[in-house]
Amino acid sequence: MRHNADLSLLSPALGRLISVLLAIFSMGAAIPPAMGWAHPPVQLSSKALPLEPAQTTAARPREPKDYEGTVARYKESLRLARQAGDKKAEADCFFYLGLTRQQQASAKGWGPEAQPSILEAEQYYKQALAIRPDSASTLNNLAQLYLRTGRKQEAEELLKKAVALGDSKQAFYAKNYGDLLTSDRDSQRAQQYYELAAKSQPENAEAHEKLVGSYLTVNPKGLGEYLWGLVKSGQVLRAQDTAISSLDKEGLDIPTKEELLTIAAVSLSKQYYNPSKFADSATGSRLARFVEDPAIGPGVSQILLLHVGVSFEPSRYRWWGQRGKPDLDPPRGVWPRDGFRQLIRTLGRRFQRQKDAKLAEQYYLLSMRLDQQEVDPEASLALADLYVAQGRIEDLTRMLEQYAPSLFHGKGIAYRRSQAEKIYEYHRTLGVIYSYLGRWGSSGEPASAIFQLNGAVEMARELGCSPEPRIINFLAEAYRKTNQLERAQRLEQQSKSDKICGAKPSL
Amino acid sequence: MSIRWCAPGWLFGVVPGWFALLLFCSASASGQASRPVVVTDFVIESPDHKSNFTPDAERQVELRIATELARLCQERFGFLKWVPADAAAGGSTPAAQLTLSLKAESGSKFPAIFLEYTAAISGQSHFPGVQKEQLFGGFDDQLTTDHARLERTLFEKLRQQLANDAFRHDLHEGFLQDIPLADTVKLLEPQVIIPVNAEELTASHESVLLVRFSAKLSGTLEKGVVELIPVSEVEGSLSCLIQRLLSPTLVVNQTGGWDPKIAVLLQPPAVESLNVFMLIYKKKPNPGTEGALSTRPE
Repeated sequence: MRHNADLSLLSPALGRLISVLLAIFSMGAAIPPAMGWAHPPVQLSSKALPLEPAQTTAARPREPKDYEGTVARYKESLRLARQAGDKKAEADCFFYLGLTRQQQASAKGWGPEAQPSILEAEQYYKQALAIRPDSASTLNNLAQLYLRTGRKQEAEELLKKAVALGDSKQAFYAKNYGDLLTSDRDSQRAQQYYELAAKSQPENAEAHEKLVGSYLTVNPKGLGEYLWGLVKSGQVLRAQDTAISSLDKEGLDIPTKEELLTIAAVSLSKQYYNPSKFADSATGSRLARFVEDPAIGPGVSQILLLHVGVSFEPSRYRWWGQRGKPDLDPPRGVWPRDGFRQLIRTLGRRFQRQKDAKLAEQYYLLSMRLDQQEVDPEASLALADLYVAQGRIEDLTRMLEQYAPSLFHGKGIAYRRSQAEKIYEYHRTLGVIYSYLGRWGSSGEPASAIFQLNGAVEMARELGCSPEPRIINFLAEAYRKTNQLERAQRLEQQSKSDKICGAKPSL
Repeated sequence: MSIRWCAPGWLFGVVPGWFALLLFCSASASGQASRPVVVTDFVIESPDHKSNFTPDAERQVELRIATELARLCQERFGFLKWVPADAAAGGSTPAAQLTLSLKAESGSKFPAIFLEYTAAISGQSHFPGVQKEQLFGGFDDQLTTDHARLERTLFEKLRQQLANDAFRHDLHEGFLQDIPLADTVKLLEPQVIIPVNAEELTASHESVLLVRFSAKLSGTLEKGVVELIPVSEVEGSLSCLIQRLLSPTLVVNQTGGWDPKIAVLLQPPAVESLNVFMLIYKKKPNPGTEGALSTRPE
């Protein structure tokens, strides 16, 4: 053999080890697929999966596994590992031996017939832990063995330790520990562990479902906070599906239902779909089931109506328009009114991109008028941009005349309540509109670009971000137009941060 | 001949690393293929941006963005092998290509700047599944001269897009689910084995694979589909159970169901064409686990 030529250079012990391994390895081709070296007993555990062929009438049982053959091969590996003095390999062999016996016990149905396999599995895992007490995998598997055999307290200790070790599978152990606590009816603590699993593995659907289930059982009011977190991290489909399906839960109070519907609306605003097909979509149909719900029915109807794109009278959307407070920040997430506005603006932008400026304008105007107490500065700015892009300066002038009092009023409330982000938005909107109209003014004239743009720059500093680049550009231009060249230069030389203030269209 | 490990991963712990290197075997020995390759590319088309780059600098930025796109897609769609265009040059023919372009809106006085995806499968143009997205408004500073900030903005936008599960859903449904993973299957009643490395696919049992086939039976061409759910692995390949099979002469409607005719329809000499696709992809969140058990000692 080609490799044997090199073996003489090695120590006798290693040479023996290699020869034996090569001999075993060369047997691999003769070993049936299910037993081959290419597969440690990992594949045997497919029995643990929920989809067993035996569950269906047309299904047939799979070939029985050769547990004894597998154990024999691991025992041989164990002997070699010991011979080489490799402790880690020794612990690994004990782990696989334990796993094989555990799977065998499972295949035997955990009854009296499985007792020898259970005892052996425990012994092997304990031997693995004697060498590597920090093996979370081994702790987890031994805990599962104990759970199967009614030793819950010992299982709990081991799982707690496995989670605390914090290895790459921590979320998996946390989910398992949550399951144990759920079976113990300790839903409160189970929720903590499901939360750990779901948050560290956002794509883990099982952990997510268990966490949601535990929220709905123990603390439905807390679900909103978790779902807002999902929306923020981009998991908008999951947040939307969970919010809608949770609405089915009986006994939810009205504020919780309203929050869930708001989460659904905001999630929709961050998706890409054809509005005209929304009513027939799976989401549209699921939402439509709640049209008769006394708590949220009108809100649902109004979401459906909004997508039809024919009715833009604010009174048709009163359910949403009434659910926001101009002088208070929401306890978390956004007010229902502002969530709905996000959806309106998204639809407006979508139609604008499709070159349907008329429809886009209607959506922006609806968002601005939705609540007479507080105009929407973002929609105002979007509409101003639309008018300028179309050269409709007269329309922009009219819009400013009509809405400037509301924008100033909203800004005043935001100042009184120290709502820095809102203050920035109002300054930005007013500053850009005045710039479009060439009303440069001065730092002493509130109805001017310089005053408003300066306000935006100052507020950005307070917020620790940079104003949108066009704010700087407009302000520099305003200084130039009013012969303040030095200020213009100074402004343009200021360092810019990558963190831009204010909401930017994401769609 | 390409080579791959056929020894279990844990063997690297049992034997010294240098020895483990001796333990190669050929891919053909187990009849298993790698995942299909999807090449990513990024192209600056917007004239105002393009004119401010030297050709060299432009290609460097394009390559870095293409590399980031490949990395982000690899994280989210691990059942495919994502490679940036330059790295793929000279390699084997990719199964598909995803190109991102920086484009200026046409016919506008103040053109907005968009990111637009285009796609191809086997060299043929294909709908990418996702809509173009505005990067800069017509009145924004479009960073035509600040290359470093432009690049950072593009990176951020890509991360934002790929973090959005609605975006990923559209990309998968419109494009990725049409990329063939394999053109044969092996049958091990009641399992259907997809000859692609299961560990690379990382498909959880919530994923669904789709087989489209045509077979000639008694001179008549029969077309059908099979939905499969992954359950395990056999010789490193993905092992699935039939969830549903629909063809003019055979219907199977039970998970794990089987009929002797399946072996006729999906194998030579009757089968004329067969392709396997990833219809729904749910990444296995914890490789090395099954049920509540850990199957690896690490």
